[in-house]
Amino acid sequence: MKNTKRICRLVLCAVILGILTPGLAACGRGDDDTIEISIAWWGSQHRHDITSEVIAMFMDQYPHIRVVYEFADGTGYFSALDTRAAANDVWDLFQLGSNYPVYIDHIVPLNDLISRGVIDISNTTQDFIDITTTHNGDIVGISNGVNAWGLAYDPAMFDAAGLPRPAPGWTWADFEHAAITIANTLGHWGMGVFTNDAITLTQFMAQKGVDFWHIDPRRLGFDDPSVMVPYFRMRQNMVAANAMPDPGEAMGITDIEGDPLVFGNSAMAYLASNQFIALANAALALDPNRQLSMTVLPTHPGGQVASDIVSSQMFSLSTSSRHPEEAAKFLNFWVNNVPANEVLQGERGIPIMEHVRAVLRPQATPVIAETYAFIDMIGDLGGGTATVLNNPRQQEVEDFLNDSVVDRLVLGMITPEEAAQEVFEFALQVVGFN
Amino acid sequence: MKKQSLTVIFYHVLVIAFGFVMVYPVLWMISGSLKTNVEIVSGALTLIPRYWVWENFTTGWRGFAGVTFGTFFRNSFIIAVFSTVGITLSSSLIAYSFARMRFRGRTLLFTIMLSTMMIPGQVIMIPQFLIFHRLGLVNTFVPLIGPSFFGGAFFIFLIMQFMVSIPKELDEAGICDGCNKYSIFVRIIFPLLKPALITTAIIQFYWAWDNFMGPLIYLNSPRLFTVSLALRLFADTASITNYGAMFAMSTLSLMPVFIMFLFFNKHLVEGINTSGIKG
Amino acid sequence: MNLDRERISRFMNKDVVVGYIFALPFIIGFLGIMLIPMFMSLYYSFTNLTLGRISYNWVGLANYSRMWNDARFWNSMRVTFRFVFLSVPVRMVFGLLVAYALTRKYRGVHGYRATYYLPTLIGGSIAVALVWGQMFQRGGVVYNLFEMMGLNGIHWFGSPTLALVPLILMNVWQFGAAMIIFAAGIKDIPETYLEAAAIDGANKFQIFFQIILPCLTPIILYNLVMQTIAAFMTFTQAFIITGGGPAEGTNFIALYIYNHAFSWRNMGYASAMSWVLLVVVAVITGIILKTSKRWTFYTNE
Repeated sequence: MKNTKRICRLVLCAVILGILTPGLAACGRGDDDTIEISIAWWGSQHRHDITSEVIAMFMDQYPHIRVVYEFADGTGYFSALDTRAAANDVWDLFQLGSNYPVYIDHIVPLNDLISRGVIDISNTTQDFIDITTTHNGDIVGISNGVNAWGLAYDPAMFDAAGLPRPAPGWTWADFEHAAITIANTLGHWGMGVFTNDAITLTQFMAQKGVDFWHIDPRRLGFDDPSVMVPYFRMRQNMVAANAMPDPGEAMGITDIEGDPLVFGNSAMAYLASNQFIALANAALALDPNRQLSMTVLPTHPGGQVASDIVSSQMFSLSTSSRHPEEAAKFLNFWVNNVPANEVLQGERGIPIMEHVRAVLRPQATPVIAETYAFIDMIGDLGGGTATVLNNPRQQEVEDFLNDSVVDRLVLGMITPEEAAQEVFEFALQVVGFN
Repeated sequence: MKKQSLTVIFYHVLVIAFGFVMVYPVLWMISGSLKTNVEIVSGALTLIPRYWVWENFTTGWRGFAGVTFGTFFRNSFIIAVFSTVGITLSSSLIAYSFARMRFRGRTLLFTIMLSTMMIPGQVIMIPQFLIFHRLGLVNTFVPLIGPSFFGGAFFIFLIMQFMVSIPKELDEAGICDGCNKYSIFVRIIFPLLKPALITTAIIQFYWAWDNFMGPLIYLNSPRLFTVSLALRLFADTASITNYGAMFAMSTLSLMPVFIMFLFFNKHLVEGINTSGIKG
Repeated sequence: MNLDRERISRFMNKDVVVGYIFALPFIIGFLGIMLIPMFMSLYYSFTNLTLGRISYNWVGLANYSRMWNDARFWNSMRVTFRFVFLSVPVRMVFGLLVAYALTRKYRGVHGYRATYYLPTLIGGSIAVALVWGQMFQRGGVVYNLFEMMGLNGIHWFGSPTLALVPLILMNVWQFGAAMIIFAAGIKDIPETYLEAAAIDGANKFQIFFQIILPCLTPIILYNLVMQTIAAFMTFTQAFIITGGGPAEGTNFIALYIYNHAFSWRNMGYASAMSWVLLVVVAVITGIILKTSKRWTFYTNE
């Protein structure tokens, strides 16, 4: 009896030790000459895997630098960043998108490191550097890749429904008609989900020359909600005609690789060009003969394309970094090293370095080639490169639009006019808190 | 007589059938951990997988970008073990004060203690977060373990109930042996509290293991994630959801709870009875 | 010298000293992680404190007036009330009935009770929430089950009202703790009461309603209070299963507060809402306790 008790105690001690020691061991390391830098990003499983692979490649090449990394999904990432920002303890390198103005106080401009040659930008154009440069001329990061928003579609489904394939110049009316026709003839959704109605709506408005946001964070770019009404009307019509999923169905679609377009249940999906790769590859995994294409968003009759080439995201150097030099070395490796980019394969957008593109483009699978062609198409249509600025309250407005207004709109609980009014009033109220 | 046994059979059939419905979701999850993704998504009701996919466990265990479920389990264990130790020790100290000492302010303190049971966590969540934030303790285990060292109203109450049943004569005998009130606690009372302490430990371990909102608010780095937080990553990482792996890890995550349930069922039931808590 | 030490040890052995020393963890904890935070949160509710921003201002009642005009806040309250008042009573009734059924002296009753308790044990976990969501999904198990019964598949998450049902069911499903407490309560009822009733010729229904139920009322009261408070705080299920949707039909107040505090960084506004929640819960608890005098019976032992 006594003996068993002792054994139990021993086992318990062993278990507790076993649990604790790996953690302790990890703490003990690092007292040699290695310099530790930290880096963080958001994204999907695939992105986590390839990014950590590149980090390992970097550490092989620079044995005296140890890179620790963190990753999360979008929301988790930004809540982590916010808490770190408040404590002035941001990772040395941190991923930012167009919302970088929110964190501008925590970003060290790279101008100096570039002029000293730590970061080599000789293989890209001024245009591509400008997309991550502020009005004051501060280079706040090097773009991880460029992309543009557009539509992925299944040409075979358009053919089967007897519709012309979408091409530049097609209008929102064509789009709505195509989606409803597909629903009626093929019994599939014409369109999966707009991953974020706020983005589509913003572009819909931009095509009319109206900005949703204003440079002044306490104002909006428009004062007449009626510009949004046609968009909401279209949105409501499409769900009513079963050309788009209703909120319950949409709830099952949580990610780009789970989009109904992947499974052949819808004919179109709205996404950024770098996301097309994930989507098309997921579709190919199910059916190797599947062929998907990308095209521009519809426009208003005779209107602007309003698709710009933008930086998908970038890594910025934080003010709390104690080793900016080493962090910059990583950044340089990240954008310029060819084998590293062969692992990344433009997952964060088309690389901005010419020598990297020159290697990757011939290697491109048909899917990736499609994204190159799409970016070229936008370039040909006169879409420029652009920096997009975010309002600090953007998340709150977007969540309200996506989770409250659009749901109620498509469930028929409010009219398009009411939806437009609600969004306008809410956005106006909320930016007032800035 | 015949009618009697028919009723009994009917009773058992009914209770078993209803019981099956009750545990069906759990069984479905366990069988899902061995099914293919397609079979899970199709919503098949069957509990026997068409193909037995044991790989769900290996792919699931691999975790996310190099952080495996080994890490997540270790984190959950650390948090659960330390907060269990903390709450068991502190609650028994506090219970000794309330149950054995007569002093001014005791009733007031005791009433306050009972009323803290009724304070919704939401009210103090934000300032607590801000305090830990200011102390630079966000993204550490401290906010998840620390508060347990200040006792939990429910456990204090539970241990007090038990302590009251320990005859006072024992204390007095201790005094005769030259013990003071501190050594009485250490040498006499504390060892006798064992059953109540086990109940406390089990329930707290289980609460800490299941806790989601705490880790959600305080932990940002995947390396510090608990199992519950990690499970959410399956649904959330903006990649195609691998339901098989998700169910496999869900099943594993419940193993400690199942094991406790099997071995300490009696203690759990006792704990619930003395206190009437939620599960 | 010797006298001093003796005096100290006598002082240290006084009930009041020992009492406060042993109660110290609680006192510190209560002040440090309950009382002070509560007052901080009250103070913040009058400011525009924003997570990630260092400076903030006193804004008076602005947060409270925003709440008054915030349709989403009222919606959250409505949805939460609906959830609480549908799930808690049903859960208790289930617990009571099953407890009554399982106090029969048949073989295997203990095993049954353990089985029925299992869902309660694991019901709060993320694992189960994920499974639950999957089961009620379009094309999921429950959906298919309804279809097999000849009913058209019900799109649980397709309408704001229906989406509450899976969440309520999940809460009711966890009646195990209530069951165990009630079962213990039923066993504690003195046999003499039941025998006396049987001699008087009371049938089973009469015994249940006129003896068992009244004897259980103190337990029912305690459970009602604690479970109502817990239900008002429901967060995880909505966060994981529905994310508050569709059309905010399951946007429980705890979830709405969380989003304001941590997704939209409106710490001040979230603090104000949490205080209103505290008051609401206090009032409802008060009402339950007040009316309880009319329906609770205490037996004198």
